[in-house]
Amino acid sequence: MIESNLIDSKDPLLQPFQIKGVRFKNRIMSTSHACGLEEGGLPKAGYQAYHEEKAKGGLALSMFGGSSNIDRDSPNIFRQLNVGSDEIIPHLIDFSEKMHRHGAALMCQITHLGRRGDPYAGDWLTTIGPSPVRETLHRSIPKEMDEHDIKRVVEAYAKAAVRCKEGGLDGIETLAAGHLIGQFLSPITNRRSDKYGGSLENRCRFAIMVHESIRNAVGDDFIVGIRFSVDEGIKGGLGFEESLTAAKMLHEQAGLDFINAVYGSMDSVRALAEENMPGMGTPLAPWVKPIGIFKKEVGVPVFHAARIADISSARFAVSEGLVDMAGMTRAQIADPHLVAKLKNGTEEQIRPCVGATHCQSPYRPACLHNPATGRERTLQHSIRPTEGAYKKVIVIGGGPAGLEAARVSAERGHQVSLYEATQDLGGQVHIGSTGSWRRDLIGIIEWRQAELERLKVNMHFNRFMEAEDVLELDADVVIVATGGLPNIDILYGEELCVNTWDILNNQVPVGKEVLVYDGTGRHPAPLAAERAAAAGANLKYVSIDASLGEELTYVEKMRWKKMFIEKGVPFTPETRLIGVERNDSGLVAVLCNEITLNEQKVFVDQVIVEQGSVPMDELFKDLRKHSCNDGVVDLHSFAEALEQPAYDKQGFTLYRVGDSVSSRNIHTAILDSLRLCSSL
Amino acid sequence: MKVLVAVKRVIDYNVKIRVKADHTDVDLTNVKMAMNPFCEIAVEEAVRLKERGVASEVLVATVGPKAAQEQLRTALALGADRATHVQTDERVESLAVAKLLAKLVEAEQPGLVILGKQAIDTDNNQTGQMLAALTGLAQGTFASEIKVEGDQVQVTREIDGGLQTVELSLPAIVTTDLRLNEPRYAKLPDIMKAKKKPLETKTPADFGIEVASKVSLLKVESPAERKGGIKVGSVDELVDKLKNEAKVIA
Repeated sequence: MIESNLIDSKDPLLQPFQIKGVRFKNRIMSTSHACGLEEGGLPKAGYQAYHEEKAKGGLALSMFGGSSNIDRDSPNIFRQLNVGSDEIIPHLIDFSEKMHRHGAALMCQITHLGRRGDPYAGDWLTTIGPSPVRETLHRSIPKEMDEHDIKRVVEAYAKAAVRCKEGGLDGIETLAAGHLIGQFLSPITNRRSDKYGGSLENRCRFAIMVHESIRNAVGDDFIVGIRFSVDEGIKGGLGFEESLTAAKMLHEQAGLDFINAVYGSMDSVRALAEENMPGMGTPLAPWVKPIGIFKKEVGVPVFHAARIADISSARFAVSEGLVDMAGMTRAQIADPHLVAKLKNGTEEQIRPCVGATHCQSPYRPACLHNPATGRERTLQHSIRPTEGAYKKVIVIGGGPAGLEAARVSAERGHQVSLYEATQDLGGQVHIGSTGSWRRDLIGIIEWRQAELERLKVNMHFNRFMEAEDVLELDADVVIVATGGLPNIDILYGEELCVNTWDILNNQVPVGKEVLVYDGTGRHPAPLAAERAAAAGANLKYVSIDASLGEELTYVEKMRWKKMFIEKGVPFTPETRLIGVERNDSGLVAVLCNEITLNEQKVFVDQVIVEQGSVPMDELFKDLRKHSCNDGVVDLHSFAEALEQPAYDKQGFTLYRVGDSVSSRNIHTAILDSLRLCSSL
Repeated sequence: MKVLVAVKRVIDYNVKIRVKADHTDVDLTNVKMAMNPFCEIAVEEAVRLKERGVASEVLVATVGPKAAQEQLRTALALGADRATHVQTDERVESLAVAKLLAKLVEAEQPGLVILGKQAIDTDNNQTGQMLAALTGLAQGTFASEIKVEGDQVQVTREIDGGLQTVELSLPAIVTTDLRLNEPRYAKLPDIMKAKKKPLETKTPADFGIEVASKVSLLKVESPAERKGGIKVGSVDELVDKLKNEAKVIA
């Protein structure tokens, strides 16, 4: 561990930064996102608790309220806050008090969605925009704004900014990229021939009016900036040079206190997934170079996020002068105490963002492997040690569920031992991360392994435990986390099929004419297809679902779709695998289209099937009668992460977590264990 | 044809090795152990021979403490048929292991014995060669390819100059090198089944072999810490330092 004051004085990330009267105590911030915890458009207790955890963790600036709406025709369509009404002000006052108490600055993002809204949401008002050009992602064709609309919206921006100021915030940012201001800036979306369209100067007019109006309303001390794309990156869009000129113009005329720089466009899944918030398998901090050039030219403080997922990338971006504040938004969703760990010399204990993008899914802001994020009122980021007796806890299974159970139990102070049947930790995560772009997933396992080593948990490998082995250990608590085995459940011919794990583990060589049947919409089937395609197989992909990767986040879905298109893998949707037969030349897969109920026969030499897993529960079943709770988990205590009931009988309590209960996913495996063991 | 594979329990290659405070040995407390990587390759090759129908049975053996049974169970999960554990807590030298294996060879009469070329803890690269000498069998070491044809085996060896292929009459001893194959992972269902495969435990005394080491370990030290480098301000300064400080140029 390094000396604390040495870190503070030398680490570029821990140097303070000042904009006007606001001091940021270090260079680490979180950028605005619609975090999914808003209630009725307001930031209430759960919303504030989520952000407060990061302030406790020591970040300098928290920007919140992604795409907060300034007026009624910018509706709440993805859990945005409503800054168009005074109702929000008392909540903001509460919020800013909390954050300031921890020394964090607080700013909000205010916007009008323009054509990015939805005419069938909220008050059912038409969406508006500079020109009636359809927005691909959010689907609306907007009304062309007239002078009255423009005046109204410009005033609405100012009123919203004033509400933020009255709420005690330190500043705000407007949103150009993809939102109304950016829709005026871009030649693709602005086809006007009046003074608001045509030349770049005309297209900037709306942005300048907005910012002048805001400045007039809030005065000089309040910080006002803009989230701005340095390059739309699409044909016919606003390129780097024009973006730079526009930014300079805006700063000259209306004065920007900062630019929150992004790269790319916003109105397609591809752009969001590859440019705005890229995930696993993409390079770290991909845009810092053009952002750095932009910063030098505009001469205004620059904030930037976009896969600055780890401390080293942030340190590089700041120390090379490419950005002033490093937006480590998802990194702090994974670990809200990131800054504190950096400051006290335990950087290597930071829970890593592996880029799974779970925090961008409908389950946001929960991190794939930090289920406490977004659930701060019921789950702990720092596990409180037990105030009761120390117990001997045995965990069987070294996958995500078992590792988390061991970690949390050890943090509670109990004496923990973990038994893993194979040579390595990881379970299905080990299988799912090997040999593909999903390699970083193993970070989930590696962080826990390091934590268990730090917590001095005894780990035993190559130990397949049976009931006698467990009973010999004389434990107080036994947690079974033995996961599952691949399930194949078709009418006939199961024995002729191969499961996805065998392909991914290289247990079975890939055939020449291969059919991959995806019965879950999760990762294993496309992973197997990727492997088969790499082995040169002639591949057919059949899915029970309408589209590829239905259970995945939009970023992961897009990535698979792109790969399938590029590799020319034919995708057959909404089709069920009925059975497999053998004929003289190989195998016959019998398929049935779920829409027409027409059957079809496909001739292949290998059928790879993905249908989730079946629990490996023999050990659990054998241990039940020896336990004092018959292996029963009290559902209410479990759901609230409260202590499980105690039993009068002698012996151990037995619990089961993860896929050994039923086939689910990494998040629930870890959530199961966190909830069970937090109050152990 | 029966194939005998010998394996060793070593510290997992991923582990960061720590020396004990008193320098008497490497710190083994709570350290992750594993099958020696070259032994994994040996097991894999034997299992492949069985899958191809060349081997009828794969017998795996190890000399080591009780915990070494874990490695035997792994080998059984990977496809070996039965295991023999020669249990001892002594630090056994290559010669002692070779002598014990020679006794096993005598008892089991395998057509082929496959071992890893060396263990990653001791790096001796002796056991296979000593076993060949003790049994009077032919040896093909550092194998990157093995081809059994009738009562001969062709072994392609990795040597300094390139590759050398030798033809040995069976029974023969082969030691594995890195490029021979890529070992498979043990599947959970096979790990379960392996628990039921036969594993017999013996002691060195059962074979009449003395395993007490004639070599004593005096001291273990970490390699010298790499000193930090310095930045120089110019090429002239660099040349000056290389000449006068590091003394690597005249």
